[in-house]
Amino acid sequence: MKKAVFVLLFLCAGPAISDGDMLERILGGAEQSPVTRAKFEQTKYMSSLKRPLVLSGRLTFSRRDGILWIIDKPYRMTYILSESRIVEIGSDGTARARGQSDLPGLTQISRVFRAMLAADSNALKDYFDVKDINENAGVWEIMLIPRQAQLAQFISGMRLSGARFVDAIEIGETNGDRSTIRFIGAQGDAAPNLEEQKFFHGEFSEKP
Amino acid sequence: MSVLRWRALLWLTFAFFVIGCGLVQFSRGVALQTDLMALLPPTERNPLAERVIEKLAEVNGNRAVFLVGASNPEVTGKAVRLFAERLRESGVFRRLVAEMPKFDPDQITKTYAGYRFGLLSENDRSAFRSKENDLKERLLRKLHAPFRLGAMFSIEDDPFGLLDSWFSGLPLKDIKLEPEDGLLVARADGRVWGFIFGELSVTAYDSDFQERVVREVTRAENELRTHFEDAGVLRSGAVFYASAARTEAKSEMDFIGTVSTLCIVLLVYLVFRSFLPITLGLLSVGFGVLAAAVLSVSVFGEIHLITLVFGASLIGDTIDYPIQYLSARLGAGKAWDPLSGLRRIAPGLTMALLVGILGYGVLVFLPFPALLQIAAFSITGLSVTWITVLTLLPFFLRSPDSRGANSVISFLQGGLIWFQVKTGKKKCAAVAGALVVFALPGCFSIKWNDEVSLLISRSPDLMRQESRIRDLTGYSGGSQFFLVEGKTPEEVLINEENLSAKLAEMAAQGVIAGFRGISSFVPSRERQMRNRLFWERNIFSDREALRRVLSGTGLHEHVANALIEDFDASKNRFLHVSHWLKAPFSFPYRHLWVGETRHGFASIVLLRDIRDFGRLAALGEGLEGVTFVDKVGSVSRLFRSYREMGCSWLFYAVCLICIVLSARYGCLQAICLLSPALLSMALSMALFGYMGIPMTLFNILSLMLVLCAAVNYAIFMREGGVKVAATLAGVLLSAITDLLSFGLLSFSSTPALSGFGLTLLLGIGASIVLTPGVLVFCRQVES
Repeated sequence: MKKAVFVLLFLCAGPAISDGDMLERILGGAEQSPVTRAKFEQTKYMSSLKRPLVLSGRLTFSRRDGILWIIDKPYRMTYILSESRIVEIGSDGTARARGQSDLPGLTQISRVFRAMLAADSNALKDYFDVKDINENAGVWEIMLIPRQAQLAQFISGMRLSGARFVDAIEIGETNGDRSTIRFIGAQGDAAPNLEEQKFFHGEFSEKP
Repeated sequence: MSVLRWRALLWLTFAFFVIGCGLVQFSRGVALQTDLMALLPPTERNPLAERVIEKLAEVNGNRAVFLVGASNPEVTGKAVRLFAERLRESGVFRRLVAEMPKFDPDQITKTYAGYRFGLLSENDRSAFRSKENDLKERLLRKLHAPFRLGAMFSIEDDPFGLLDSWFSGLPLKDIKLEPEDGLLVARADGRVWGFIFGELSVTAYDSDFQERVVREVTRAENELRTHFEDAGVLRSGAVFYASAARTEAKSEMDFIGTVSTLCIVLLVYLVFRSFLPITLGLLSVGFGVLAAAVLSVSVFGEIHLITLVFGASLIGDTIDYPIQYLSARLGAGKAWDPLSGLRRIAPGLTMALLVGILGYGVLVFLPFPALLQIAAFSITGLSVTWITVLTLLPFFLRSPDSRGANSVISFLQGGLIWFQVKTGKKKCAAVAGALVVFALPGCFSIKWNDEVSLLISRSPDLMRQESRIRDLTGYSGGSQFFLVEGKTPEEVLINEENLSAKLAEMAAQGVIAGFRGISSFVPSRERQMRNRLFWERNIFSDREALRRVLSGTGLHEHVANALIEDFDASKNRFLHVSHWLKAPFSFPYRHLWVGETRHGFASIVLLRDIRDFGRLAALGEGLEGVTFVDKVGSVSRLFRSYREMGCSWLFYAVCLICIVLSARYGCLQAICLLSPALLSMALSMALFGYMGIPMTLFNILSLMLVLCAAVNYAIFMREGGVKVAATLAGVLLSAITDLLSFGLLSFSSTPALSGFGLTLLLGIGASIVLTPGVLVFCRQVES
């Protein structure tokens, strides 16, 4: 409730308070635990697909180590994204690592993705302008549009919504494709578990 | 009297001529050469390589790069814009780029999409297993990625990610800057750095302009600090190096010039106790140096910094001639006659001049433009001072100097007479023998150094800033590269691909960190055809399987149809260098394509972080149309070969001087006159050996001057003896002024000059101590 009052105050205060400041206030309420685990369901709407592609799996987001993205259905596929490299483990179990040197811009993508999952208002502000922002009883929704040409090349806009955690992200691409990710059962934790640590430190087995 | 007047008039005419020339030249402004690379000789066997080096140097020379940093991106953005605005207002830059034009990564993918079936990464070529499963796996990876990884080809254009992986192999990644908020940005250690690139409106080697650029940049930097406390600026560019080198050289020149002039004035006054000798001495030297500068400018069109610094030390060398004449006058007392006095010292002076010309003349035969200038400068300075002493001085020194020698000289004279009486030939020979025994082990432990940095001293502060910029941006401007030539553009690309394959191996072994060449962006037609064949065999041969894989993963039928249609339609379509050069994104890499040359076409391949030059040079020898160009390396090799040659020249010079001396003094006496010089040379080399200071080509060259100076002293001593205290004072004075000016040269920040100075200091110091030995052998004791 307290937060809602703040929001009202800000709205009354007029243009002196920027959307950026508000973003900070709202997202300041999102939980900031070192590790967050959740299940996810991603739906990709692509013009080249006959029907939307639905992927489901689980995700571990560690502020220190990066993102572990494990798709279980329809095929087992694992992506480990850290600041400087991305490792893909395919359905056949083969791992392929690519660093910043293979993928120009990887650092930036990694930073954006982490900012979204962490609901890190500062990092988000570096890359996006707030187009619209709503908050009601601790449940918020933010519309973002990219500030930088490089991101604007393929992202037309993003919608983040949540309460204690980010609950859903919708990403619109410039070519008309879009993708929604829903997070279910998010839980905070102090540190990654043993299995996750293995992934983050590259000690994964070659077999799925 | 009239003879004296005629001579003086002759000098005056000559002086008017020189001063007239000087006025004409200097009114047009003296071209001061501050380009450090201009010191280096042409070294490449391949003339095209030399031209390409020049072209690259020219392009780099007119560029300046800045990084403006702050601890948060917003401040960086504002700071970069303010800094760029100030620099733009200053007008010193023809072009200043801070904000990047909207860069469209899709533009790259669009350019390549039409030629995509001719492209393939080497990795995929070997790893591809051509199975339906493999294709499916690749498609799933691309389709399931939770996020789009930067500039990727669309699923329709590149369902299997083969183009993505070819694209990620492009050397775009060397550059660590990322576009952000309209700027190019690098992040490190919690700071955000914005990139600014400028092209100077005038050449970087114009002295006045240099000063203006540095002033404007410093002003912009100061203003930036008042607005943003936290902001910092890193700068890099030839203009800053040149300006720093000029300031350094100027202060060195001022220091050497002022200190040696002051000391000379003091010493001359101490010996002659009158202002006329000081005035005449400075006039002779000043006129000599002026004439040398005028000649250098008229012959070379410019004066190099290094010549000026060296020229300042010439003052101490040329003052010897007037001193000889002045001391002759002092010695003659009341019986002084200016012409007969001149006649007495003229042979000695001329001998000294000849030896000086021989010594500096050796520099003429070295292919270093700067040394040629130093030689011309020195020889002119010495000759003109000699002329002044012979023509002008007698006119002003008509009246005798009757005060005789003062106590300082009498004391030294007493010492030398005592030395002459007490020491015999045996003792002297024993001392000489002992010195040889002492010197030999030192001479054999000498280490050698042949690095280019000897001639080029760069400001350490600027080098630090440059290396920081290199770390932050990933740009590197090495002087090593491969030049690739061919009759046609296609041949160039084929040759470059052969080279790239080897370079990739070397990069894997850590010999180099990476390389950049045009064939990475544009494969040769031959390779494009081979790649197309690969696509044909592995992906399009079984079109049913292809359709099955694509629709099996949920893609529309039209995706497969369009892919197949595109493949068939692009049968005779190949990417050509000209297409690539026209695409806007190729802009930062266009210098890799040299273009049309006299023999065909050429390109260059730039290398990053070379760790083993030998292997790269060997690589260049074994490949068709490929030359490894290593300017720094080839100059070092040149230094080495001339250093080795220098040692044998030294031997020939000794022989030559011996012949010249024998003609006047006879063979035995000539050897006696030479031996202090030889011992001094051996001693100074030995000291370098014992101190562990590596010797260079320049030390060898300065040994040549030690030889000349030491022989001069021996000649002066032999001619004057110790009887006439004034002559002795002259010899000592000459030695001290030489010691002084060369000693000062050893403070220079240019290693070549300071090495020069130190060798001369040691060598001449030793020869001063050893020369009295000449008296024992060459002259009978005069009681």
